[in-house]
Amino acid sequence: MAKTKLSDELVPKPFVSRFQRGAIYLLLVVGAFLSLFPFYYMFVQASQPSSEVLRFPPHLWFGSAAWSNIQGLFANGFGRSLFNSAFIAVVYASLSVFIASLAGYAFAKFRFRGRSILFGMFLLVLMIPYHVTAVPLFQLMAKITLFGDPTWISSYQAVILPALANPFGIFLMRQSMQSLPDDLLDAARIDGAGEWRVFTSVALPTMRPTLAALAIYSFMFQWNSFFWPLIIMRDKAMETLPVRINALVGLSIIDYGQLMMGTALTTLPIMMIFIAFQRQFISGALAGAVKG
Amino acid sequence: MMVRRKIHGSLISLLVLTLILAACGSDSTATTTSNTGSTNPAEVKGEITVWAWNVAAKSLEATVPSFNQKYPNVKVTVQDIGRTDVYDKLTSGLQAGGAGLPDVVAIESDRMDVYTSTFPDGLADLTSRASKYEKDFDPSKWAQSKISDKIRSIPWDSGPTGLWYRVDIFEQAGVDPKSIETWADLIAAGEKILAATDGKTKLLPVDIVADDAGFRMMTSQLGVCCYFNNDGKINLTNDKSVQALTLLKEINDKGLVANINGWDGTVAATKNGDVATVPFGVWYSGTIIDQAPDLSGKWDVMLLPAFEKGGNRAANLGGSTLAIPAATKNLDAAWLFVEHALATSEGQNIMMEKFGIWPSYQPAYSADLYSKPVAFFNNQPIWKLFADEIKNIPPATYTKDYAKGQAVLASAQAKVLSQGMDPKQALQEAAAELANQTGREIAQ
Repeated sequence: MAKTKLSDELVPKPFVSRFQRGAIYLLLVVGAFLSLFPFYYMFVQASQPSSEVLRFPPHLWFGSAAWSNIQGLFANGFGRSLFNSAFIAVVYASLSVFIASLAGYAFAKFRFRGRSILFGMFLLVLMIPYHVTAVPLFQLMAKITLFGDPTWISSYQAVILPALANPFGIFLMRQSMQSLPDDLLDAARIDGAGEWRVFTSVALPTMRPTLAALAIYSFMFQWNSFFWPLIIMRDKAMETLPVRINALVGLSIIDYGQLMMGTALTTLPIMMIFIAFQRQFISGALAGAVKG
Repeated sequence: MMVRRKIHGSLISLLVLTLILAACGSDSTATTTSNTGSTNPAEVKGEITVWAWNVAAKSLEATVPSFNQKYPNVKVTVQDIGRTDVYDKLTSGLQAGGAGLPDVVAIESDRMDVYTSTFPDGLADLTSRASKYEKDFDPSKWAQSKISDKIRSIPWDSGPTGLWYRVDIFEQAGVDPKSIETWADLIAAGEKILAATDGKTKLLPVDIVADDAGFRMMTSQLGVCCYFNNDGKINLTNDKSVQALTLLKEINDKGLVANINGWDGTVAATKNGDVATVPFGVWYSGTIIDQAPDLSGKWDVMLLPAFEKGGNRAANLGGSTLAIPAATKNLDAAWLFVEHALATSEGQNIMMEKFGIWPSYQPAYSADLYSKPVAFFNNQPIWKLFADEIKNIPPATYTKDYAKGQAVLASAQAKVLSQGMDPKQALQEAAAELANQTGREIAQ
């Protein structure tokens, strides 16, 4: 806070005429309208019965079918998919952020044999296109018998585990941890803190914005993920939201109302999370960008 | 030090690469259950899973109660999956030697060749069980199910085409639908309609840059569908294909084409009166009823117009099959389910009555429903038209390169309709392009 105040005083205010200000506001209003209208329109369409969605001229106000669209979705497994998506995204986000911060810390603050080779491998993984690994990964999941399961096809771990050590996250955390002064950590060590204590009580708290940004990123990654859950989840009870919504697209008959409602309901949590954590998200993204 | 590090680095990348490759080339353990036809229905036991896209899944689900009356000890689970998603799941499962596959799967007829050529033994050989039904099925569909004399799928629904048209708009423009016999008649009618509606209502919708459905229907009608001939050669430069594309160009040049965007665009044009006719398969009836309930009584259907008076008016567009992955653990139950749904009038007509899925199984047409008038469609017995059409549909050839052909043809169509290229030249270029992509020869 103090910092912003200082810069406020030091930087001279540019002269902005009333006319210029008006023009800026007008531009912002138009911009806001252009970016918000598609969301509004999505909710309007979500409240229409299927046969009204493609009508011309289009409806601009809410229709009467919102509840029946919701009922139709939930009668066909939408609730279960909502749970699956939320469960996978939350568990994945917590675990992968934890792992990324541990690995990032180690890469940034410890010197050990093979550090750069290991780190290079992570970057290498970042460069392999996802679709190349899909089939071998699927075969692995089909044959794996860890934890007593006969197969990992259609299981939560099959979606959560393969992407858990996320190279992007590790990279982000390493860049961020590098900015942490070694002296700070040494001071804690001199005060008698063990390595674990140094990590959790000194390093992690300063990383909060980056951690929040990474958590949101990881959550969204799983929430929006389509291809891998589609391939690996073969039991309807295990489907995630994007897969369930895509199941509404058939050959010659599509329930557009339900499709729009499903999309709206899937977008809503992401919008709410983004609005709630907007500041962390943006400052975290900036921190990564500037300090990297 | 630097050198050592470099060696380390490349060693590790090599290791990673080897791991990936090793995982790719794993063994394919396709298990084939022996063919033990059980005679007592109660002895057939087990659980089977069926994959299909939404309405198709609902219709198969509707056959389960009558199936369970015959075979009470088989538990059937029908899963609805997005249409193209079925293929992604099927392909990955077949690549993994049959892991995670269902016991029965719906595949569009024009996609079958992709699977039978990429995974020759991925789908169960049904020849010994199914060949007795050959005479009962739509011959053009049965031909597609047979791959080098083995039956790998059973035809489910056919897509006999029709020209769906707006009765009220025809009346308003003073056009008698009965007078339309040839495409030339239809073009004349289209010009009258355009004039009578002040240019609002065009004749028919075409997705000029992305979909060549019109071309496929016309070439099906002329017996040269789709892109390839029986020897697997590219079959685009023949006179009939040129005739079809020339016709499309003529309709477009007269301003009678509504250029729409994708499937949703077609549906929107249908319900908003932007077009007076839609040439499409029988399955479009379901779409019109679903999407344009307020136009009840205002739609009717006739056969596609002929290219010359008295010429063939039967064609096919679309249609699906059911196949059984060879990895199924319960081939008997899976087969009996397919047999009940597709090779009995009972099963097929449940799906026809409730969901308008047109049987490829011809004995089904003797049921009452095929002669009854349909209130939504101008109170006409429209199903009879399609039942009579089936036997006249010329056989078509698809190959595993069908999708490539579709893309090439859509761009040829765009060149002709949007840029005015000569149809013959466009088809020659398309044939050369397709030869380039597939390594196939061009038929002379």
